[in-house]
Amino acid sequence: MKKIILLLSGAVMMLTACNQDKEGKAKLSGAGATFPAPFYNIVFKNYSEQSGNEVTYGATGSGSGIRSLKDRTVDFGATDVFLSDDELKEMGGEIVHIPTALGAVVLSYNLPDVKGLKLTAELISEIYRGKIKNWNDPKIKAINSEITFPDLAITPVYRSDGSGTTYVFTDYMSKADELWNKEIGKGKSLEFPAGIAAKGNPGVAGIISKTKGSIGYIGSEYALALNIPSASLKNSSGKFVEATTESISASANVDLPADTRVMITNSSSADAYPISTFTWIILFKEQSYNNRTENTAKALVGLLDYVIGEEGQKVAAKTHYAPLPQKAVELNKTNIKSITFNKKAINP
Amino acid sequence: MFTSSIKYRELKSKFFFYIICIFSFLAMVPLFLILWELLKKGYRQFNLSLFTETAPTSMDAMLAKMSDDLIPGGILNGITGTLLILGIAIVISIPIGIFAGVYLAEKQNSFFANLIRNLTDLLQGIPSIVVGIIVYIWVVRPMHSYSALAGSVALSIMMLPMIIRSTEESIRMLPVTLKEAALALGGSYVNVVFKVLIPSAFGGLFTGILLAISRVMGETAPLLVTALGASIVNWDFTKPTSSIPLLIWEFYNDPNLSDLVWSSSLLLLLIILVINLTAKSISKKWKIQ
Repeated sequence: MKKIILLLSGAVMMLTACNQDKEGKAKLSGAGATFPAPFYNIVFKNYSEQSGNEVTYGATGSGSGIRSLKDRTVDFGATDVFLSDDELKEMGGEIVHIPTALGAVVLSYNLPDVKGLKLTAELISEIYRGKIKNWNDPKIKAINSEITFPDLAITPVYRSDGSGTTYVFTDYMSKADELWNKEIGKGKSLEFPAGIAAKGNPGVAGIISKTKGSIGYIGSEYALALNIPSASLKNSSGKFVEATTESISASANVDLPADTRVMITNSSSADAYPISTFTWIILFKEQSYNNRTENTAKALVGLLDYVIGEEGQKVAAKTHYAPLPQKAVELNKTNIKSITFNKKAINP
Repeated sequence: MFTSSIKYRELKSKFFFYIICIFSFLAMVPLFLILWELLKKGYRQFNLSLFTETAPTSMDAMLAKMSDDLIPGGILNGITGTLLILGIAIVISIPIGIFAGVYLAEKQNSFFANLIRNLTDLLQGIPSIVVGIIVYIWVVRPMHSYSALAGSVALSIMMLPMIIRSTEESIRMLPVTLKEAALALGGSYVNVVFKVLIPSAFGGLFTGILLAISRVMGETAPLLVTALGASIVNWDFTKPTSSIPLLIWEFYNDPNLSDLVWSSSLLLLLIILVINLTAKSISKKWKIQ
């Protein structure tokens, strides 16, 4: 027995000893949002191959990302919802928000032989509040004059679990429709008066593909990857816009605050798809906490530069997220420059 | 009258015998259905690259699916992570578990032994996610990093009750005469424990340890909040590390990777089956006479 214990501990020590940090190579870890995880997994892998700094990411949810950073158990967190002023005060250090890509929420539907459905916020509101019950309703026809609708009941689908997707969708709806704001409001998990619930984006997509006449909101990267048709929406300038990488990027072409903490739903930009949002990486501005080395801080800044840089943004587009518009990239560059180690700026 | 009563009883006995046979068989059906389902859905991806390559990204999988290929990559990072986390967990839990077990067997009815026995039983009942969260506070936060070590601590806490109880049982099953003979030959008490009791009960101890290992091998919840997961092969126990169940959870959440769920589950199940069968054969071979 003693021999076995000795052998085992010897083996563990040997395995770990030969893998100690080599000079100049840092190991970064992050945790948080599940929504950008497919994008992050690829872009972090590319950065690791290029720089030799290893990056690990755990997709545990936005809330967990914020808490892990607060506990200082990760080098960076990832979140789909920016930190409120109260949350910022509780973090115990100044936080930098770096938007890394944009995503959108689209309304996907299952109507045989119907293509190019157009919707407005008022129509979506009436569908989800159970006021419009059939696809051949004159109010839908009024906008989609070129489409002949079947006599088919509408089944709205919503998320049963707390989710950032629901938050972004209802944030837009509350801005664009007063009745929605009064009766349903905005939040991560809400009571819907009509329709059926499903868990997660896969659940909603599953119900839509199985149920004729259904309509539901899902992440755009999902709808695009699975090739499910989705409606074009009327934006604040009165234009009907489809969710494409360009129209989603255009949503951020508005005046952004210096710290990038902003919801860009119902954007005033003329070509914008109205239900778009940033996804952020958050980190501490002062990097010299818990015996972290300058090397680690440099690797982290290098990672951020890579993600918002040309190559990182190309990956975003390939994985069906929208790349950042120029304005956001410039703001990011300023914010990344403000990151310090021992109060000295870090040069990437 | 008399004979018909016997016949009736024999009939009743037969009837219940077959009923019990049917229900016993029903109890085994789920295992074979699970194995069949996993084999059916997992065999396509169950290939060499499952053992030699790390988990693919969503995009690799998407491209492969579009051209109707197999998803490239495997779960090497999960296999090595499981080995590392379990290895450290074994190093932590075996000495504690065996010494506690020996103590319980040797001081069967002392106040402390009863206390420890009851607390061990309570420890067995703690939900795994609670263990995970406690270890997050104990290890992850002070270390300022998710790590394989934190995962090992969580798993070793879950392994302890089983090791302790199986050690106690196997040592108590040894005949008293064995200990008496050893002491009569002039061995010191420490010598008797280390050189007679533990080696004689080794079969039982080993079985208990193997069963404890296979019990925690599929744990996901405590590892999510302690080991976090990693997309690379990591041997550094102070850094986040993946494991097979963590990878299965990740695959489940990504529509492009969901095909890999089955082959990884199949592998995990096979490993655990092998451990269990090994434990069975060892306990048979080393059976205390």
